[in-house]
Amino acid sequence: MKHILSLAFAQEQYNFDEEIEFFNEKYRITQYSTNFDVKLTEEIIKKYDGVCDVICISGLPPKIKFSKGFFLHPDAYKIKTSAKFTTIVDGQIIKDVYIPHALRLFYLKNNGVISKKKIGFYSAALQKSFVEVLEDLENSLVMADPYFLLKIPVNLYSSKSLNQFLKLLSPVFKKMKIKKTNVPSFDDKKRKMKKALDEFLSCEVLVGNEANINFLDLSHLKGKTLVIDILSPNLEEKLKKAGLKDAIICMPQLSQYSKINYSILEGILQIKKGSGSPIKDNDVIELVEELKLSPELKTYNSNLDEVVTFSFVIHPLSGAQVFKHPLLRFIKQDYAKLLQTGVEELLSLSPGLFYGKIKGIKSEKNGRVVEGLIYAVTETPRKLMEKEPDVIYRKILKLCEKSALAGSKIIGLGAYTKIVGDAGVTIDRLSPIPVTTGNSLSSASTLWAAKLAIEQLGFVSKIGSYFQGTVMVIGATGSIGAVSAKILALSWEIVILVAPRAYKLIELKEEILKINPLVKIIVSTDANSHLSSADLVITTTSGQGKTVLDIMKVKPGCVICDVSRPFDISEEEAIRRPDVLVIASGEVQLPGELEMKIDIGLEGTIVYACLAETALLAMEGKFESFTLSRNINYEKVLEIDKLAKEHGVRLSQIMGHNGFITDEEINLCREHALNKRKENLS
Amino acid sequence: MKIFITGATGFLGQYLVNNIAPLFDEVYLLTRNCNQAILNNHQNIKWIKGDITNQEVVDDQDLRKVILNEIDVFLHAAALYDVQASYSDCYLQNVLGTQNILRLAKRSKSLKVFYYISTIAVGDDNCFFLEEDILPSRSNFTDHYSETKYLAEKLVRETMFNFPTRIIRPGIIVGDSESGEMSKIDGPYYFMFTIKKYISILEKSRVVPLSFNPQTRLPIIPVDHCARFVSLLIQRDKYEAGIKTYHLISEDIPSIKNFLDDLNLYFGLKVHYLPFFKNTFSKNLLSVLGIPPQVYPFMFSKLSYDKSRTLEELPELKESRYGTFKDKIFGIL
Repeated sequence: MKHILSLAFAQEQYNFDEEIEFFNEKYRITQYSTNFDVKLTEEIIKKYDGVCDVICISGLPPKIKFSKGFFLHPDAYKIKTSAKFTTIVDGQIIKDVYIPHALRLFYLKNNGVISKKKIGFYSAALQKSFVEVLEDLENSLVMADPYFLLKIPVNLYSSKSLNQFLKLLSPVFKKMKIKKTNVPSFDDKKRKMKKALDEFLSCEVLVGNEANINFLDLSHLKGKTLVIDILSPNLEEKLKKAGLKDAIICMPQLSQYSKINYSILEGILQIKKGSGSPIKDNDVIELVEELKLSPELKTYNSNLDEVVTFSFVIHPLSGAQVFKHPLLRFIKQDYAKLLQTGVEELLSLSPGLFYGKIKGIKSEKNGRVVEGLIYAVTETPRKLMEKEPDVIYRKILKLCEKSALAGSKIIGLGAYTKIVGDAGVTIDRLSPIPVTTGNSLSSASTLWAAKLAIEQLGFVSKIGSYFQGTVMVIGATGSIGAVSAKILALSWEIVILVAPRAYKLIELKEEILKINPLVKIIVSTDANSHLSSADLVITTTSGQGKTVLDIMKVKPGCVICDVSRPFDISEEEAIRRPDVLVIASGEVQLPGELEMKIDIGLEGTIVYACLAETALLAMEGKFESFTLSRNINYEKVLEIDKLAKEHGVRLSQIMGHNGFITDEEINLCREHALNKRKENLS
Repeated sequence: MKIFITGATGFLGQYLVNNIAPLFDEVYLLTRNCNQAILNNHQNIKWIKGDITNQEVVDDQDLRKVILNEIDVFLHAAALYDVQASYSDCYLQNVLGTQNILRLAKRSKSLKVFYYISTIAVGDDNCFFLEEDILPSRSNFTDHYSETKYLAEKLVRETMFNFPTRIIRPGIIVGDSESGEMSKIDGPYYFMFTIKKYISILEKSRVVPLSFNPQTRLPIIPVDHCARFVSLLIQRDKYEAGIKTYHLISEDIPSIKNFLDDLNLYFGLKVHYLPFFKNTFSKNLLSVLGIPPQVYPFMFSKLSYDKSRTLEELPELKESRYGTFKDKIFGIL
């Protein structure tokens, strides 16, 4: 068994001698915390030199490189060169290679958290591997190095000035001893020189490592995000108590091996490589790939009292709606009609604008109050589709930046803005805050609406929550169709899948049977042949107005749920069958006592399902690009469905082609259907 | 039965060996230099060359095998006891040494029980009570000896699942209760010698201000008592699993005031020591007078010590009374 000696230079009271298993190999690790004692560290190295396989030192100040040359503290140099036979490693190579990679990786997944932020470093000199990559991500950096190292209350703002500072003062650092007592306090009360520290403490994100933070008073970390290379369970507990909001841990995989840190990992790498051959960057890259290392965001204390804001972009649904803006309400309707085309044209030249606020949304799950900022682009749907996507992107991105400045954590795209170009992907890539289209909840709420309509018509019997009837999904192999089919298969007896390509249908059938093996599935390439048996029809095609089904063949009392835009079932067709209920979507009601002075095209406090998704994500504190592009995802729809139920977002109205479908309309439809059924029987 | 003892050449160690050797068939004693003239009055003693700060402890391979395969009881009494020693010296002997011995014990195949001599200095002197089976969490230390002994006891406690463990925390060890013999000046001896040194001044004074807490107790135990109690504990051990901690402190221990009064009586002085609050000046003054500054915090300790478990298993502890041996201790002056 290989024997590793670990010396924790900046720690105290953490000594052990244990055998651990790490990726199928056993190592004996002997650790001594030497508590900043240079002499002791050297003595122990002397004792173990030539006896153990590798010596790993952690907590020593690293070699600081700047443009011409480098600085290494004489004590650190003395310690690192004190062994004659055994290799000494300090984890610096792994940090230099892995940390920039980890931060990039994290940025690509959760772009809002560490880009375009004010980021504070306790000591950037000791964490140079973080500096450059965070500077690249358009963050403004505040480095408290002068205070941390020399107790001078001044901040540095770029890696260039940091280099100059280090170069200038390296003779001073050389004379200083590495001591615990040299670490200053960041405690609010004891500060004498306020200004520079205030600036540092106002940063939302702070970067530190265990050696930095362990000796500080942690009260200033309340509500902050901490970027840290590795987090030991002990420190994690302390940070949790101090009220840290969340932590980005670069190597969370090591947390389960509580004894292993960066330098021990480098030691293991050195053992694998054999002593005598120094570790190269390539070895670290291989290790990262082999162990599948990736960063993680952990949330500890999300502040529920704080009002979280989200944003939502809408646009006038028609020229007439432009005149609903408070400033234009004075224009009488007759004039408005005349002005409409011209105004539409003229308005589309104007940039996006702030439209209004939705206040008082309060989650039923955690009581968090959220507030919606509604922005509007001025194009009507016609204009949106006519114009180049780039122009629209730019307009929406301006609004994204505006809302980020106003403190929004997430932005939703409403109505036609989410189908421009690549449906949100480009906007999300360039936006400072996460973007969602809200399609997941739209799909879910449409299915809620279909369920409600079926229940109100009452033609389909139900055992428990299981409908004893037939549902047909037209366009089942599309993304919305497939998700709808999967969800409906959980609660319907027979599912008929219709799509033009048979081979795709068979694949889908297999997938659905995995989710619910009890459901009966019929596949067909022709809708009309099975139409007469369906109680619910979902159409989601890209037929662009072509007829996908013969409405005259539909069973009386059937509900047709038309998810396609433009609609598959035209209004004229729908009128021909008064005994069939054609619905378009379901709109929802948000929890809490809503205060909404603006008109978003719906009555009262009813909102679009896609807006509700954005609000839900804000209530849950899940600031991520939840739904993007035209495709939706089965798991995400189920997740948002669950969130909606927990937080109290409920179906409010069933939408038809022209606005809400009232209870009277449903009753009328039911009477027609009953009559028709009698006729058919006789 | 075979026992392995570290620290046998130390002040307490010699007494321990004399008390324990008759109980065992073979007694293995670890030493750095093999030519030991002391302790050769027992036939069953075997000296082993080694150093607890070395990784493998015992240098000779065959002897190491004996230790690993045949020893029933470990008694780890080796430590660097010097409040003035540097951190690295204390650490190497007390922490690193203990870790090495623990590793040896972990690999030992026939080990029945592990005895570790700790100290009551592991207790936080800002607290009021030191319980037997608990090591209080503590981060501020006034001297390196207490700190490293604390870390070492922590290590011992962390390995308690491997073998039955007994931790013995003796008080401040003072001289032999019969002969008064003491090899080293520490604890109360500092005062004794300082008073002796300045006796001509003290004879003329009535009131001397001294910075101390008159209620602070001096947790002392004579070295021969301590060694006898340890041997009794080893003799009575049933080797049940788990960890047990014992506080070896004499009964009726004096407070500092009592102790100073006793010294007055002994020297025939009539000085009244006026208690004074903690301050830097008197700390420095004491070190000028020959009392190391590391002793100073102990003069304000509020600690009292739990002895319930020890008294239950070791009723003889009641026989060790301060009153019976104080004259012998002063006798060496």
